[in-house]
Amino acid sequence: MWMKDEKKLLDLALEGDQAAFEQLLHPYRQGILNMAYQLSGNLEDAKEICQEALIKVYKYLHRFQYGRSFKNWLFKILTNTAFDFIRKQKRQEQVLTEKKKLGITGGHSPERHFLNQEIREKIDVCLKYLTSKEKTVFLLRDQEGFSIKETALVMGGTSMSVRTHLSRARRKIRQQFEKIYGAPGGEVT
Amino acid sequence: MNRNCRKIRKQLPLLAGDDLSVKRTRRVREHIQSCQACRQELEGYNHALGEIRGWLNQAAVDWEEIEWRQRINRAMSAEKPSKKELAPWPFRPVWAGLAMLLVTIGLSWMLLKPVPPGREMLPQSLAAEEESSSQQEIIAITLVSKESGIKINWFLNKNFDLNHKEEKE
Repeated sequence: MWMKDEKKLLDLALEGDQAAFEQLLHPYRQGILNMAYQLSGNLEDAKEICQEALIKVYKYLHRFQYGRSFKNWLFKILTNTAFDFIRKQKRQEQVLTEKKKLGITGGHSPERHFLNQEIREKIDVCLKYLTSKEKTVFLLRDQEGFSIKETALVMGGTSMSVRTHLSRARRKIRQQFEKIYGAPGGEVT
Repeated sequence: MNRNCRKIRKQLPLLAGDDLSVKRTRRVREHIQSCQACRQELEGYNHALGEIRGWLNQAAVDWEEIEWRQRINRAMSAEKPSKKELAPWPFRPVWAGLAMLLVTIGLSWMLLKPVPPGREMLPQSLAAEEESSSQQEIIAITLVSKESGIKINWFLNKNFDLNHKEEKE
């Protein structure tokens, strides 16, 4: 049933129907923003990444092979866009530091922003030593709830390599977590 | 820590996320029941993963409705996709494969078809060319197959390669 709807929405979106395109993306709108947010570490950057990804999705919508998973295709475009964005930004690191000093992180209320900032720092500390591949695999699996097979499709690798990266990521996260917050039973700050 | 424990511990990060096969999960769980050190190790993973998943949930962000629509609108006005009809993907490689196969068969038939005796490639106006080009540096020869109509053009340069080789030797 859903596949039929998806096909209909794809056809309508290709004809330029904005409502259909929006409906097609609606189930993943929060997921793509959160994924981009965790990969970039900044809400404004995350929104820019999503914008670029959405442009690519619409531009190459005719190339999407109907019958495959739209969700996997969307996240593949998103992660590639995020990697490109982060790579570009690393070259402009000085500008980024200035931006962070000014505290430009998004349009939330101050309380929400403060709470987010505190949790953000905790997450950043734990994901600090992960490579970009390990981080992406971890976020797809543990944040977005992708299966191992789906993660492999998004990453363009095998289930075996996803398991290896995931295992390494969780081990690093645990080590970093215990280094700062202690082993189970201890007080978590 | 014995060898078995070392093997089991390698699988604990995946077990903590429920990413092991049923068979392996059973094997690891059996070991854990009798090994306190490995059990504690697994608890460590569960605890750390539980905490970080909780933080990821708390830090989750969402679009404001207006902004989301604006982004969609911007994406659609930036680029126009081709209005090509979407074909079901399993059939695309089949059509492409069939077309390639037909082209390959056709080409092989044309090139490898045995030529009946007496109908070999005949040099066209070869003698005339040779006569007229006795003082020329480059000779052009055209061979035409009566059978298939294939034309082959030869360009022979008197000073090419052979002289060069001799000089080298």
